[in-house]
Order: sequence, then structure tokens, then C-alpha cells
Amino acid sequence: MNKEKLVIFLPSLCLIVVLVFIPLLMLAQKSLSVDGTISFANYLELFGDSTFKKALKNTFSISFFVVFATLLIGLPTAYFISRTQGRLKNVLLLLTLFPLLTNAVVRSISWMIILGYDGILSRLMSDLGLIDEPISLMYSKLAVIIGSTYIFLPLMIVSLIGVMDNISQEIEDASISLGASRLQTFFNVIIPNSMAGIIVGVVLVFTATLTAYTTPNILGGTRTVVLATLVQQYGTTLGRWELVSSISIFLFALTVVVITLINKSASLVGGRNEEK
Amino acid sequence: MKKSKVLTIFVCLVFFYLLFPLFITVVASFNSKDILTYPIDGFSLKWYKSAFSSSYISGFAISFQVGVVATIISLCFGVPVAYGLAKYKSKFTRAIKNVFFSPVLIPGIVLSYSLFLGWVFIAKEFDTRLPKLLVLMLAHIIVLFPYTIRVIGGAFEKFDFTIEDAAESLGATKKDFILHILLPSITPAIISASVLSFITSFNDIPISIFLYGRGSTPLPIIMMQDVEKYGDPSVAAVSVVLLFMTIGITYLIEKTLGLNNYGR
Amino acid sequence: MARLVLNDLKVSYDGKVNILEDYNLEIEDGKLVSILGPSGCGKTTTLKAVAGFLQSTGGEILIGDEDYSKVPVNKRNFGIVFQSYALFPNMTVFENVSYGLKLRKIPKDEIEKKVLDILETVELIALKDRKPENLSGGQRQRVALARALVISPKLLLLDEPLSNLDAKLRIEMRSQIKRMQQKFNITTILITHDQEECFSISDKVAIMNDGKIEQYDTPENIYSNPKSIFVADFVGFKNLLDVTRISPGVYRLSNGKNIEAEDVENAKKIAIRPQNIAVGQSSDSFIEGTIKVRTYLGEDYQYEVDTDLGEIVVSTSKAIALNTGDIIKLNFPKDGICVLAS
Ligand SMILES: Nc1ncnc2c1ncn2[C@@H]1O[C@H](COP(=O)(O)OP(=O)(O)OP(=O)(O)O)[C@@H](O)[C@H]1O
Ligand SMILES: [Mg+2]
Repeated sequence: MNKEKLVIFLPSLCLIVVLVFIPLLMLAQKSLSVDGTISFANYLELFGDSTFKKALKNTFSISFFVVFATLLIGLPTAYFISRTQGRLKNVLLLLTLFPLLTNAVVRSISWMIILGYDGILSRLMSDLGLIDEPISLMYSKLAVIIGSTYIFLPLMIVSLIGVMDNISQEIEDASISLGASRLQTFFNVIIPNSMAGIIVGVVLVFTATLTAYTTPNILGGTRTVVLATLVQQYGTTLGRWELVSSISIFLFALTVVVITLINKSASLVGGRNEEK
Repeated sequence: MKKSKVLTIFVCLVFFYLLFPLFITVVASFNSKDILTYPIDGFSLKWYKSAFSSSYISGFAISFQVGVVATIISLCFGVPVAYGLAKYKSKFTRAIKNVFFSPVLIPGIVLSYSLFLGWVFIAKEFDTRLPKLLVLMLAHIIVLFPYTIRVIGGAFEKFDFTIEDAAESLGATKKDFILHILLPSITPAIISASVLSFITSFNDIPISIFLYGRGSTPLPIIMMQDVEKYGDPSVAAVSVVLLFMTIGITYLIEKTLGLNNYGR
Repeated sequence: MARLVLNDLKVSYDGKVNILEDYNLEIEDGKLVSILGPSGCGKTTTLKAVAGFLQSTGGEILIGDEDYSKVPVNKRNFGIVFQSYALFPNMTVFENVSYGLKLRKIPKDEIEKKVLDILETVELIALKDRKPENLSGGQRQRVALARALVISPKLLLLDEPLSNLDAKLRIEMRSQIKRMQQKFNITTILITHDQEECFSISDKVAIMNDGKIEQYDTPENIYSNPKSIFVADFVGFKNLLDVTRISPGVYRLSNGKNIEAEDVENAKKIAIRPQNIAVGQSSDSFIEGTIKVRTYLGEDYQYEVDTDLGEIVVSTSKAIALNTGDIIKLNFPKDGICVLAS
């Protein structure tokens, strides 16, 4: 270990240790202590807590749906953008990225207008004769799914464009010349060769939804609680601080496990070459 | 090569989905009544007056300060690290790379709460209440740090380190090399990292949840609280102002750096 | 019968400028025709139009009596070998080759038999489970060829198939292409800008320039009897001299001397290869010149000679080594001269 390396890495290592590792350890310690002694009581209470169970279920089902929806919408869109050339491509990229540059409140409030009582969607549905009374979709699971899909779609699209840009037109032409339709080519050639980007996108969107706070807070409120909003509600609103630490540790562990699992299973399937 | 019609229509719908909500926000901000609806009942600019009211302005000032300070400090820490990671490739550096990227794995709200515990600990043990603004800045530095390393690291990966030896052979000191060669050659990356970091910090909500105090509430938190409380169109008006600021920044990025340097 | 006729074909990328216009080409069943020409002349465009990736804006693409110009690419059943080979990276060699057959809903055991057969022919059986990334350039090339041929295409289209290979492999591969083409007796278009490559394996060669075919002929004829100044220049007639025809078979050169050659009305230039110019000391020499530059080309020497006709390039065998500054006498034998009208 020479002096240059020390000068380069030591300050940042200290920064991470002091501001990340030590606070996390304090958090873990707090989650494991009851009245000064080590105990799993907090976790036991947590796993028996019905609100927590509901939040956990919500978090997972919302994350799955959002990943599914962003993939479903993102794959054709990313393909379209990657096969566009020149100025139009830049414009489309810009329009995709633009919502990412504003905060989640800005992006969520319009959904209150769309999904709220007698909102745009409600009126559209009654125009179509689907409902008789004005309804509100706010604070439902569906609202959180729609809003989160909206917010995380650009992440998915950008991850996918990255790999799709590298699939040459000739490969597509080859598939078509061998007798495949465009749709067959999309499924047989484009998607299998986009696996690396799909995995990156899935990891990004899944963990983002798993840990998202703002959108579920605005569109789900207290009716559709997820883990991240539960941390805040048990803390600042309900004062059940003893549970906050254990939920936090749980959420953190969950994130790590999910990322590891997706990456592991991806490398098992063989979709991703070791590149990092 | 022509694209299929179905796909084109589908993509048009997707962009409608991406952009229509923003359009609604803009329209709703001009409502004359104090509810968020679309279409609006009448035209009024009064919500823009309240958008420039003291609470939003002070929230903006806080977010701006936090964003600028956190960006600069995370650059100060991140640039040397990115340099070191690109130059020295060993088991050791791969291992500490994971350490430096670890904040990415931690949900914002969890990091926020753990730092809050740290604040409480210092307040109890040392009888010192650290200013909330300072803690906010520290928290944001941690969030930005991995992004900074990633963007700057991208530039260093392309850097040819034999240039360092060449400079030395020509009689340059370490300082000359850093100031005259190294930093200038990664200026574009530093600019993109700064812009990306500032925007990330300026928009981040979860990391601040447990850390703001009276007089140090960041703008997005104020906006969120207002939405939770009553949701009159003033939040929409603030959003529109922010949208246009973002358009300005995006335009500047596009003009100066080109989009491809951004977000990759 | 797979006789290919391109009839007044028109092709345009933007709908405004026609890259190909009134393009005519006829290929006999089972023949290999090369399209040769400088960069940007429209070779790839021709191939894309025939393949169907580019919709032609006019004219016909006839195979037998059937017009293919409106048939979608995936229904044309043409085998195409791409310049980059365009192997599917996610599939093994076997899967790559069987892809076209699978799409045709052929029974599994039949697919297996056909694929193994063709892999055997291109000597790739041992590598059938490899992914393309683990193959050498020549092996990829053969997979691409096998993949295109296994679907029993009506037509085989090859776009610069050898340009990514090194010199030695190129020679090997071109005879492999020729062997396969003859074995399957398949009408083939080969795009190339390598003259030697195309002359060596083609039944006929089409020389293209600026979206048009300048000459369509056997390699031998093109080599010795170029029909235009462009073709002459392209196939290595280094000396092109301005002439005026003064009587049948007699032309006047720019230095006032007359020369005899085959009679061509409206002759503009005569062309002669460096190796067809006789170098000697005999007194009845046609012109004289001074050697300016000497280059050694392995088998022979080549000289740039200053004469009153301008610079003339001549070559001699190794046995006769002349030096820079030497004054030499040159003769243009009648049968080495090619007379050009356009
Ligand atoms: N996608 C395109 N859009 C518009 N014009 C094009 C396009 N592709 C090629 N061209 C033009 O068509 C003409 C012929 O191009 P083509 O690619 O057929 O040349 P080529 O003979 O294959 O050249 P090379 O030997 O370099 O491959 C050129 O002038 C080129 O600029
Ligand atoms: Mg070409």
C-alpha cells in the first residue's frame, strides 16, 4: 500500500465508514435491542404486525407489476428509439429522459388529477358507460402501480436502448431474409440479444419500486402502505419507533437479497456475460 | 427501413403517456378555483403568486444550498477515488469499489433514518445538536458520491495513464500534471457529473425525510407536504416553474455537452 | 428455373434521388456473377434492392417469369451472406443454421439432418455447439454461408463476404464459396471491390460506376477488352492516351504520330497495359523516353517513363533491369492496344 493510494482512498473510506457503515450498525444494534439487552423481540413483533404484512405484500405485488409493465411498454419503445436515426432519435431520447429530471412530486400530482374523485379517468370511464357514479382511484394499489410505472418507465427505456443500439441492423436483416416476420425477429433476435439491458433495467426498476417512497406516499397514502412509507408512518406519525429500526434493516436486507438474486439467476441462465 | 404502423402507433401512445401528465399539471396550475382539476374552471395566475411565496422560496434556497454544497464536496471526494480506481486495477481496488458503491444499495429512507440515529446519538453523548442543514448536506453527499464516481470514472477509464509518465519525463511535477493535464482532460465529465448530481440532490425526497428541521426544509418536501395536506394548484404552479427550469437546464446540457454524455 | 433478370430497376433511398436507374442485369441459371465497382457506386444498394430490404421504385426483379419486386423480404427465400456475417450472437452454430428451417416449420429430425449435412460440407460439425463469439473469422464466414444455403434459396446474395478476412483465408474461402455455389447449382450475386477475387471465381462480371453497369461480360473479355474508359482504368490499363481517328484503323496521338489499331468509330482514347508495351533498342521505335521512377513489384519492375505523350507506365521482367535516368525506346504492339469510344 503506497502513499498515493492512501491519499486517494483513505478520505473517502472514512467518509463512507462514518456516514454509512457506523449509522447502519447503530440502526442494526437498535433494531436488536430492547431495554438495553439483545433480543429479537422487535423483529418478532414486526413479523406479527398485520400492517407490516400488508405493506410487504403490497410492496412486492406493486414491484412485480411495475417491472412487468415497464418491460412490456419499454421493450417496443426502446426498440423503436434505437432504430430511429438522426435528430428524431435525439428528440425522443430527450423526451424520455426529461421526466427523470424533475422531482417525484411534480410527476405525481397530475396523477392525482387523473385518478382522483370525478377525475379524468373517472369521467372517461363514465363516458364509456363503464361506471354510473364518479369514482376515485386514488390511494388504491392500482394508483400506485400506474404512477410508479410512469415514473420508472424512462429508467427501463434508457437501460434497454443502451444494448439495443448495439444490435446491428444486419442481424435483423439476416433474420428477416431467412423467413422471419418482424414480430418473430423481435422475439427471436432482438429480445435474446437485449438480455443484458433487460436485466439491468429489471434490477433498476425493481429495486427502485421496492424502496420508492414519494409516489406511494402521494398516490397510496395510508390506504395502500408499502415498506418505505411504513417506515415514515411508524416513525414520525405513529411514534412506534421500536419497529422503525427493524423495518429499515429488513428493507435494506431485502434490497440486497433481491439484487443478488436477480443477478445470480441471470448469470445462471447465461444471459449476462461478466462485464463489471 | 420502414417501421411497422402498429409499432409507431404504440410508441406515440407511450409518449402521450409520458408527456400528457406534465401537460395536465401545466393546465391545472392556471385554475381559478382552489382545487386541482382538469379541465380548469377559469383562468387565473394567482397560484403563481403563491408559488413565489416565502415558504417555497426558502425551500428553494435550502434545496439549492444543499445541492450545490453536496455536489462540490462529493466531487472533491469522488474525483480522486475515480482516478485511483481507474489507475490501480487490483483485487484490493475491486473490493473497495464495492464499498464506495454501497450507498446505492441502501434505500434512501433507511439511510435517512440511520443518519437521524447518528444525529440523536451525538446529541445525547456529546450534548451537541448538529445543525439540521449540515446533516442534510452530509446525507446528500453520500447519495451523490456513487454517481460522481461512476460518471467521472467513465472518463478516467478512457484516460491513457502513460501520459502521466510522459508528463513526468518532461519535468512536470505531480501538481503540474493534475492541474494542466488530468483535470482539463476530464472537464466534460466533471460538468456532467455536477449537473447530474445537482439535479439528483435537488429532487431527492426520501433521503431528507428524517433529517430536515424547521427552517431547513427542502423544496420537494414542502411540496409533498402541501400535496398531502390540501393540494391546491399552487403546488402545480411550483411544478410548472420547476419544469421550465428543467427545460432550461436540459437545453443547456444538449447545447454544451450533447445528450449522449448525459445519463449514460 | 432460377434465371434472374433485373429489368429497368429503379431504386431510391429518399424517394427523390434514384441511386439506381434503368438498371438491367441478366443472370443465367446457376451462374455466379460479381458486381465490381468503386466505393459508393451502388453495389450494396443493388444487393439490398434484389434482397428486398430496399423497395424498388420501378422496374422488375424476375426469377423465371415471376416478378419478385413486391414480395416481402421474408417471403423471397433468398440466401444472404452479410459483410459482418450477422450471425445471431445468442444462438449456437447449430441454432444459427437451423433458424431458417425452424421458421419453415420443417419437422425436427429433418432439420437436424439438413443442418448436420451442410455443416459437414463446410467442415463445421465439430463446432456446432459453439457460440459465434468463439469462432474465428473464417469459421463465422462458413456458418453464414451454411445458414444462407440450408434454406435451399432461389438466389444467393453475398455482400463483400471476404473483406473481413486476411489474405490467405480469403483465397481459401473464395474457392469454398465457388465449390458450394456449384454443388448447389445456385444463381449467385457476389459484391466485391477486389478485382482478383471476382475475376477468379465469377462466370460473369458487372462493372458498376455511379449507379450504372458500365460493362457486363466474362472476366476474360473485361480483362482484355474493356468497353469504356472507366472500365479500362478500373481493370488496370495504366496508360490511357488521347487519340483522333483519321481513317479506319488509324489514329493520331497527341504528339502528332499515327498509330494503327482495331477500327472503332468515334474513338477517343487508346489504352495499353504496362506489360504490353515493348521495351527495346531497335531502331524502328515508336517513341523515346527517360525513366523517372523505378518500382520493384516482385515479378517485374515497373517504370514511370517521361515521353512526349506524357508519362507512360511500362514494366519489364526482372531479367531486364533498367535504371532511373536511362533513355529507352518504346513500341506499342497492335494487339496490345485497346481502342475506346467512351
Ligand atoms: N441509407 C442511405 N440513405 C441515403 N443514401 C444512401 C444510403 N446508403 C447509401 N446511400 C447512397 O447510395 C449510393 C450508393 O451506396 P452503396 O452503399 O450502394 O455503395 P457501395 O457501392 O456498396 O459502396 P462500398 O463499396 O463503399 O460499400 C452512395 O452515393 C450512398 O451515398
Ligand atoms: Mg457496400
